[in-house]
Amino acid sequence: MSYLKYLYKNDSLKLVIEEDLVGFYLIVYNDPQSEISSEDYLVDSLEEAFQEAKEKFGISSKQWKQKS
Amino acid sequence: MIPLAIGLVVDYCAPVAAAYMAECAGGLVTAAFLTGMARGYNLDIGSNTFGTIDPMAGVFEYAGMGLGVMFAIRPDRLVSRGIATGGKAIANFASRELTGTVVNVTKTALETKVTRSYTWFSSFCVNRSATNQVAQRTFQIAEGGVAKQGMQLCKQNPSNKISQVEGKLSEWLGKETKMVKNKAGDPVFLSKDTERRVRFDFSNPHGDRPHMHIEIKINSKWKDATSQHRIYPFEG
Repeated sequence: MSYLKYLYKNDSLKLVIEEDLVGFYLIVYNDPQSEISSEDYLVDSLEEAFQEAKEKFGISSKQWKQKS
Repeated sequence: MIPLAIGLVVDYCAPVAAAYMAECAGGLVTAAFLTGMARGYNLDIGSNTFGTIDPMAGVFEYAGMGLGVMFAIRPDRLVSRGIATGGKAIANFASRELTGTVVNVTKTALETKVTRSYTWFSSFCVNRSATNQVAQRTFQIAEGGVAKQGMQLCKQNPSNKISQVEGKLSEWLGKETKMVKNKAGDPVFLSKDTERRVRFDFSNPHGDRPHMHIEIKINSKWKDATSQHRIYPFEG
């Protein structure tokens, strides 16, 4: 089974949305170069994950890149 | 083959060589050393015989003894034997602990079984320890954070803290809690009214240290029920 994965990255922030069995994780990396995340949010849908990213970090859904 | 060759040399050649060298001028020290080696290999490490003839020869005899003993005992073989025995004991102990049965681990399958059993056992212990620590930590967080939101938390009993913590977590989540696992195998506990949840990120902590979240739903959105977004149960 393949899971959806979206990525947003700029000079100071990296965001990843990962589909999971229990919903969608929005994972926040305050250092885009680091593999160590800073925060993670579990939401019920992809739309919610996009919305969470918009509200918390001002990233619109069009700025995401689908990875898989 | 090499140990066997050394053994043959020490057993048969060295005494002959020692006897021969002892007759030669200046060969006393060498003879003492070789004799010592032969005696050491046979674990005959009492008083030296060459010492009464020449103190220096006596020293060399002892040195030879030391080397002979090393050849006889083969410390490397002892170490590897010790490791194998220890591994076997660990494997059997782990199997016995977890299955309640005695498993005789064969030497051929030793490595695999040790790895599997020890990993399994370690994981079991870590998980058990983690659960206790999570419970302790959660209780502290819950007492300080969740209690502010109206939870009825009684004073802890230090003698029975863990079970009380588990009780408080269950109490906070309510009866008929639903548990689901994410794809990493980490559990998410959800209250029956779907308004509270405790989720763990132990197997996949997203690159961070293993942590957990205690969350409540406010206006249809999950918010941290505690002052910390991530709770690290393994801290101090």
